[in-house]
Amino acid sequence: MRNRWVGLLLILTIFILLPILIIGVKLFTPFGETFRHLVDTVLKRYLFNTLVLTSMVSLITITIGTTLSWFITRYDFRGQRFFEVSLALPLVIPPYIMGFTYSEIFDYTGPIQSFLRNSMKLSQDMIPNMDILNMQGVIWIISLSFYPYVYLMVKSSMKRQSMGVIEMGALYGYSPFKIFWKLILPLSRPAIVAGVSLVIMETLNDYGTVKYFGVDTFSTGIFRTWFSIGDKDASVHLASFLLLFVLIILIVEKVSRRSARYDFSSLSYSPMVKIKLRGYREVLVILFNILVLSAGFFIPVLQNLIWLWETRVRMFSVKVFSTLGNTLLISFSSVVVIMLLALFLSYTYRLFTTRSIYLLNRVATIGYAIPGAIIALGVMIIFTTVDKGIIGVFKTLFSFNPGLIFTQSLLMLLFALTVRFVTVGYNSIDAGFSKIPQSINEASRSLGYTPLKTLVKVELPLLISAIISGGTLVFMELIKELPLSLILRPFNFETLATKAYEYATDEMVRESSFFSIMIILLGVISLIIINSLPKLIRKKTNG
Amino acid sequence: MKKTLLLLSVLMITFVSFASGNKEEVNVYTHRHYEADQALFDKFTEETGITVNVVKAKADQLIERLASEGENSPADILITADAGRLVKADSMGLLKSVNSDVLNSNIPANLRNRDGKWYGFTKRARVVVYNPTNTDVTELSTYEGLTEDKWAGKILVRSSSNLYNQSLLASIISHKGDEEAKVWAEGIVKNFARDPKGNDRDQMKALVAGEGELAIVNTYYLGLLLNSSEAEEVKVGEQLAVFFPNQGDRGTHINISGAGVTKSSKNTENAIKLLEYLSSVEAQEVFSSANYEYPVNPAAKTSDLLKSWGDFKEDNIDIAELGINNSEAVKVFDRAGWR
Repeated sequence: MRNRWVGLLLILTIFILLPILIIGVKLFTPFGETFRHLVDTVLKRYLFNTLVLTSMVSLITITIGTTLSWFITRYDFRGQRFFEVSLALPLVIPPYIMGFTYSEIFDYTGPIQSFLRNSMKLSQDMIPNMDILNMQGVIWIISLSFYPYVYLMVKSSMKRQSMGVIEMGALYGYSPFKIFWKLILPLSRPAIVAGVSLVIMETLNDYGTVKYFGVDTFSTGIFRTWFSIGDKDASVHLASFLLLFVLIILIVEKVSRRSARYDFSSLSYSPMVKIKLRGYREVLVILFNILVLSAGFFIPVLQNLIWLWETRVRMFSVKVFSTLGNTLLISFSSVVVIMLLALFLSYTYRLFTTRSIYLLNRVATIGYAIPGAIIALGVMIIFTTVDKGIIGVFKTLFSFNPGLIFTQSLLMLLFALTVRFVTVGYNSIDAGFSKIPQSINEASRSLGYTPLKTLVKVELPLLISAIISGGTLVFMELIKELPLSLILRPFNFETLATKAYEYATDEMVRESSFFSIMIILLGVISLIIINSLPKLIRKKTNG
Repeated sequence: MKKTLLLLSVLMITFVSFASGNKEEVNVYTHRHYEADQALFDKFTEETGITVNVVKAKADQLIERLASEGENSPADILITADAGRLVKADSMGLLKSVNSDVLNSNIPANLRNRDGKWYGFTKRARVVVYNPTNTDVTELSTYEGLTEDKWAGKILVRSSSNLYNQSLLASIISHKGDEEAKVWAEGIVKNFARDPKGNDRDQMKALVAGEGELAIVNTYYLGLLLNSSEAEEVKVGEQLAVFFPNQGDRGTHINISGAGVTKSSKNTENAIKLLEYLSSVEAQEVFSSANYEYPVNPAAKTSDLLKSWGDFKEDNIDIAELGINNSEAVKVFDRAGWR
């Protein structure tokens, strides 16, 4: 019986891995002529830019994320509870929307420069250069959009840290800063690493923002080689190198986490006591929080709302709501598929807890680390081959051409989104299962229920909260997703993200505001759901 | 309950996947992204009752898609904003020959494929814009002249990843060969006012902002600026004038935006009707007045704005050359360091 479960797991894992494997094997093939041309000319620049981008973004997000977490967990100040929740808000704004918005804000014909010219009557030479469409600009934009990953991870880690550590530091005469730098920070290392890995993965995945800002990275290179030069082969080759890069990062992350112990077997745990901040210190902390929150959320949202109002007449049409419908359709379908898959993966491990199942699960959830361009290429190759094969078979056996089935449908996009985002659902469900003691499972089995029945009738109700929060997190990622949607969508199928991108890159950033606001709105609703879940559950259980 | 929900979701997914239609329609894959186009399609539907389904994407992605869809592609028409891509599509066997007296009489022979595989519908010139108060127009002459030292740090132009630049370079490769084209590209790179970024309108804004002195842009973008709903953009356009390079030799580089019927088309008759409509005087004049492009139909009148830029000698090499040399152009750009 176990073999059936593991067999299915193996098959599913192979399916998921297929697009990535197809790209990976290219690493071992000789360079084609176009790829050699790329190596001679642009490869170094792609590598350099990708390295600079990821390292600078990592640095900035770590700095902002840990500083904010520290303020929130250690100190008590006015608005603290508001900030604690709202500092995660920039996550609902995809980096490309952040990018379009700010580039338009700072543009020559944008609000700032127009104001300086018209109302302040400044001549052009007196206006400083506000061009943000460069490497520095995109670094800041991406950091602003992704710092919440670090912030949330580190915050939950710091919350669990013992007051005892701080008291020990105080005993040694450490200043507050030294306590932070020498004690708290090293203890938060696994959370920082986890958070920044997410940031790096998302940054490597980004296509829309870097393209718009004119920064050539591996992602844009893959697109360019595929579409402009027209050499899919060389494009796959390029993708395989990016894959190598990603795998190295994953290995480094794994190794760095292994080498230290972070639990407190000897010290007894006492919860963190917050220091009340008053005076100039409080003001500074509040100002810093306001600054980050405004830059990362309020300013972009406000600006888009203004543009929404300005373009409301031109934009209001049936198309606009059908795009929303499409986004919801693909997102909900994907959430269902992903959560089912995640449930299966996690439950199989829970049933049999062998090392090989654990490894299979790790492999199946690798998709999140793989940039969308790579997955899109791999999926496209697979599905066109399958479709052509099917057509071939039908033609020879039945002399009938069924037409393209898979490549015309949403299935391709659905598959790619599953490959990419199953981790998110999996992590949530896995965490949910870990809170349900195995004894419940065992008791149910001893009373005669099959594993499947146990899952459905006993454990699923207990997992509701994890399923909802996991599903909502997946949903949040799906509505923002761009590279996969751009390449794999079927005929006439637009999502909010692809439409926003289309308008912005067609030099109509203001018109893209409707779609941007919709994405942001859906994201905010999702965040509210995730945040109120614990309260709702408590209300339900307290009756 | 959960099982029915599951079943419903699966059914929904498969249903959505196989959705199809049965009305009179024509499916268009287009790279053009101008609002005027949708208005024309709507007018066409009004007059003929044929629904126009549109997929918009970058031309290269459309071609890639057509190629992988093969004979099962639902697309009837491929519209691009550049001749190079039409030629590329044709060389990949994606277009079919259509014969139409209407098309042949509306569109001059050098702006369409001689086998009827594709037809140009609008012309656009890639010109040099400048601010007359700062720049003496007598200093301008040719594209080649832009590489002279006096323009160091003054040239604004967008990235080489853009089709319009690739076609311009392709035309230079056609006229002068690879080596000279590389020399020209390097010369322009040497004179860049800044790293290429943004689109044609951004180059013009940067010019007015003082970042450079000359910008290489397509004519209709100036039209779009001058007719923008944003007052600031109109102000930018009003400060600029148009110079048509190479009037003394081969003429200014022009490109066409055009369309062809796909080989896999299932609605060929409807497709031909749409193409004929787009070549009609009525549609041509819309292109000119709403989108500031030059019409190809000699009977169509150009708008006043276009008239104000004046007549000019066009480089009339076979438009197909732009496509033939396109991927070479991309490589030359790479070698010249033109990002």
